Amino acid sequence: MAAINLLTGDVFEKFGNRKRSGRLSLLVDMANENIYAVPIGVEHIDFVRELIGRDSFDTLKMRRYIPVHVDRYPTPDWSGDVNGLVTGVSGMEISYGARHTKEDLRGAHQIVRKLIEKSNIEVNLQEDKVIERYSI
Amino acid sequence: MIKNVIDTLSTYREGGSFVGFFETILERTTPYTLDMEEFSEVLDFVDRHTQESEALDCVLSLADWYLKNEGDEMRIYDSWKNLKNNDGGKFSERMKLLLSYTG
Repeated sequence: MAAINLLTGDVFEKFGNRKRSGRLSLLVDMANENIYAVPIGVEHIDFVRELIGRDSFDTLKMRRYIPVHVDRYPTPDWSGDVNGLVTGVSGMEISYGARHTKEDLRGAHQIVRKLIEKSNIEVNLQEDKVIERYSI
Repeated sequence: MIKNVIDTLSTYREGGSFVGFFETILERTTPYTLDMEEFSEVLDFVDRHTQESEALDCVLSLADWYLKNEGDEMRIYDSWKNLKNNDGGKFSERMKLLLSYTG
């Protein structure tokens, strides 16, 4: 799976509207700052297991992969502002016990924030949160 | 029974911390499988009594509580997703957004 270095229209066309209109689900690998988009119809836990090894439910190996939800006002051409950026929670944390360091959570949030800026997407955040509930 | 949670929620009086109240009730109650009606009732309570800053904490507490049920993690997670994704239009947009973060 390829890492993303710009949030292009193609990225939103291919991975957007995951679970919710306007939603793009990203995963930041804090070991190298690679950013991946979680495909539609795939759970975070299954996507991470592709990265760490399919047979593994090792939550220590999951630690470095931080989920970041990017929400845009839904429009057919993906021209809407980003109105939500929420980091640190997905089924991987809630159901499978993955935990992350606070430093990585905050770092991933900033990395995605910079990616959005670099991609020249307007930002008008109604929701801007780093969830530390699942931190160590 | 989950009915106790719902009955106890109804004793909440405005002014106190709803998040604290809600989490205390959950801590004192063994997780049970909720049916859609019960789930909807609890969520509606959370929706009516929380400010923006509190609502997500309550939804995550509810998810954590539900997923503490004993048994196969994958099966319970599927059960949670089934609850949150098959509301039949009953949940508010705010609750749908917050639930969407839970997987």
